[in-house]
Amino acid sequence: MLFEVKDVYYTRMRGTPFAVEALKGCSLAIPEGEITAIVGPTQAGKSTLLLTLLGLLRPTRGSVLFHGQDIHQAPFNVEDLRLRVGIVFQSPEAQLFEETVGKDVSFGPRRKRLPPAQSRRLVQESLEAVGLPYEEFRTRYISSLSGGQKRRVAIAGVLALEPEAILFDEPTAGLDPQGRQELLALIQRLKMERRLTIVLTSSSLADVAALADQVIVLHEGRVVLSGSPRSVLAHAKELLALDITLPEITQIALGLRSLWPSLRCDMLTLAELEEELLRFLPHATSQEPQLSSS
Amino acid sequence: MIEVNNVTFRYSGEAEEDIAPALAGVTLRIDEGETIALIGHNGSGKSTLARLLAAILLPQQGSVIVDGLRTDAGGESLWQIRQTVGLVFQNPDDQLVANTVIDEIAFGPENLGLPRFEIEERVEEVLDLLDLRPHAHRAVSDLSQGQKQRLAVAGVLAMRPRYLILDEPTTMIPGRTAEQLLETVRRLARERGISVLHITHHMHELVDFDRVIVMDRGRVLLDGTPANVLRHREELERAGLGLPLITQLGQRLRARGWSQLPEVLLTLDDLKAALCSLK
Amino acid sequence: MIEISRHISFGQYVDNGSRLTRLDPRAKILCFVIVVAAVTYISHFASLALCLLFCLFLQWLSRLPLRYVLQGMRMFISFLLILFAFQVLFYTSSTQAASTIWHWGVLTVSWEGIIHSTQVDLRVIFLYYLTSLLMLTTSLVDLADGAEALLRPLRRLGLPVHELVMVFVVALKFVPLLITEVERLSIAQATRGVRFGRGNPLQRIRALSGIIVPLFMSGLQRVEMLSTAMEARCYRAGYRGWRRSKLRALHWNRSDSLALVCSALLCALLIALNLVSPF
Repeated sequence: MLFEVKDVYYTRMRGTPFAVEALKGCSLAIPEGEITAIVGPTQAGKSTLLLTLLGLLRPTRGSVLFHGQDIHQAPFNVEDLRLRVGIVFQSPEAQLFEETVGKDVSFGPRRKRLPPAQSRRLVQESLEAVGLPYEEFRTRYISSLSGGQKRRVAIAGVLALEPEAILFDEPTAGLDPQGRQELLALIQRLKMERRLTIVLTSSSLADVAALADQVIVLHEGRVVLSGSPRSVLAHAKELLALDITLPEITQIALGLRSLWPSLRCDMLTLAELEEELLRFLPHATSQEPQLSSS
Repeated sequence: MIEVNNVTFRYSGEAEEDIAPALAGVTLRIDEGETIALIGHNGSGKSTLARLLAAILLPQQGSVIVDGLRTDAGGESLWQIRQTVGLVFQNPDDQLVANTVIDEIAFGPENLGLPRFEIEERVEEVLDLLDLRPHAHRAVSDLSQGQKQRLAVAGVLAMRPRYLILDEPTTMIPGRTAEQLLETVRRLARERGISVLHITHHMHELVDFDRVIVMDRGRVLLDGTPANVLRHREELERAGLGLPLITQLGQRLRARGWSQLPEVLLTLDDLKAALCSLK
Repeated sequence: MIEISRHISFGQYVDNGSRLTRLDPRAKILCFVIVVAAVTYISHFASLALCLLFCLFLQWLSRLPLRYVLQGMRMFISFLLILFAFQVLFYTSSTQAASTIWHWGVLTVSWEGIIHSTQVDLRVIFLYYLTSLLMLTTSLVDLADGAEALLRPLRRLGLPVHELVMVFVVALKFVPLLITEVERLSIAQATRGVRFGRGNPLQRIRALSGIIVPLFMSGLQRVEMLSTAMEARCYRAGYRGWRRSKLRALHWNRSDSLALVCSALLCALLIALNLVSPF
């Protein structure tokens, strides 16, 4: 296991009149080399959980283990953890603090005092891994980039630290369908090609169901459901009550249950839904070949 | 009625030849009480069009005429138009001015110099319309993203606009909250005769609107009822837009031999009714 | 470092319905000005002791947890302690008869120095306390409305009172947004190897500059969007003949007059005590 979270509690704004319990006895495990999606409505404690994983917030109770070691106990050094696990935030502009793309991506390597040649190589590899040609983008100003490109630069900046894992906080929020598809494909590629462990949060199962190996559903600071995307989708009704956006396929399947109560709702693709429907539909009456509309 | 006549718009800084203009010769008409979904992917010119309609940007060629007033006429008519056309931005944090919910709603009417009793009346009215009453005295910064977006709509509605333009209001909020917001907006259109122009890039959101306009590279690509627009699958795909899944499912089943299914299914209810008839 | 908002109580408003929160903002601002003027004037321990009693009384009225208020002052007090050391070391007595305790070059520690610096710093602490209490018990909207009402006569002199107050309100609106942004940026930097609160001053400043520059840039963008959004709702700052109205009416009650009288009495008492008291 890369991370194990054991019965973690965290109170935000502790000691002020605004104190809120963000995590209330949260336990989960994140296996190496897989994509884990943490899904829950807003305020479920997803972002707090990510920060706790990185050791940036110290649990008020409970422990976080990284490769079996408690991150807040000596001899473990939390600051090393942050060089081994990267995070990409929801709004990429909050994460870019240098003027040019090259400078920003090389920020981590420079901090680690790597020799210039090695740092250059890392920057080049990282930029190309996210699909931004090095020569073309190295000197570009961050401010001249589009939102999608900024997001990529932010990912490259994290990749340049050669992490074992990357945490993504709401990676698809605010993107259009095309940008969303591209980003999800990129995340998938990072897992396959670089063997990275990926953790991502989302308030919607729509984007992550087809991508994740494991889905963890968080509600009011606790894990309420976890497992493969299919096994989680099988509880679609409960998820809806938790204010979690379901994939369109699942929504359609749920809606059709009023016709066929035993219709499954753990399908991930349109083809699967079609197959499932065929179990219930009477045989097609018309044998004529279907003409296209155009 | 809003008339957009052959409007071209370029952002300054874009070289004349290098980059295509944000809008290139757009012509369309929006009637009172219509609900329209404006769809297109990023960079298709949707937001630019919204800003031109609300007289925040002025056309460089052609004209935008709102209830008989040209947006580029200058003087008082500019403010008249901005009162008539309400614009809700994508990110509510960019739009919310005041510190509490009530003050935010009152901001617009205060700018119009209305007497106190009338401001109060309008605040009360939109608090109920958008279910914000339980939050009336809360600080804006404590609201959730969905509540902020409702508040942004409330602030604009308090101006009593005749046209309401929503610039991708659903991108920053979770699915069900988004559906509720759209349901509210359509109800307003029905009950108050406000025209609604909802800008989105989600195909599944367009099915409940009277009319759909598809934009691509600064031009109007398609314009018609949802069912008519969805018939043009190839054009939509070329503009980077896929059909809604329900429509796709219907077409797949038709291809499998259930040819009595309608060619374009829009809503879940349509699908259910169609499947029922097969049963 | 990460939860910055937890450590900043300055500028927060806690709506607990206490007597202090319910006062008219005009009364609160006037009382504040009167008491602050008196506290700035006094220097003797007797009047400082009276001032302490008064602060304790206010603390009781406010019903705020004492720990919370003090927590917000912690950083300020540690800063003040450093200042105190310098004041003592570089104190030069106006009379020659200073009772020197320790002496090295230009550095001297004398009883007069310690007493004088203590008096100065106690005063500063009281001022800081009063200011944070005003903020903790008054919402920003009330503060702005109160200030605008009190400053209204200055409009005759051509001072843009409303615009100034609006700038203040908008600036304060950005505070929570900025705090979250600072939190995010410091996390982003921490995850890429920056260690805050470590290294020599130059390194520390460089670590901070990485936060301030992007913060400033995003701030500028936000302001531009917000001003567009305000104009879209007919906010016409700078237009001649434009008059805004106000939703909120301020109500002056008996308790407000009482508070004002008490403050004036306290002010007189503090000054009188300071005149007759020998130390």
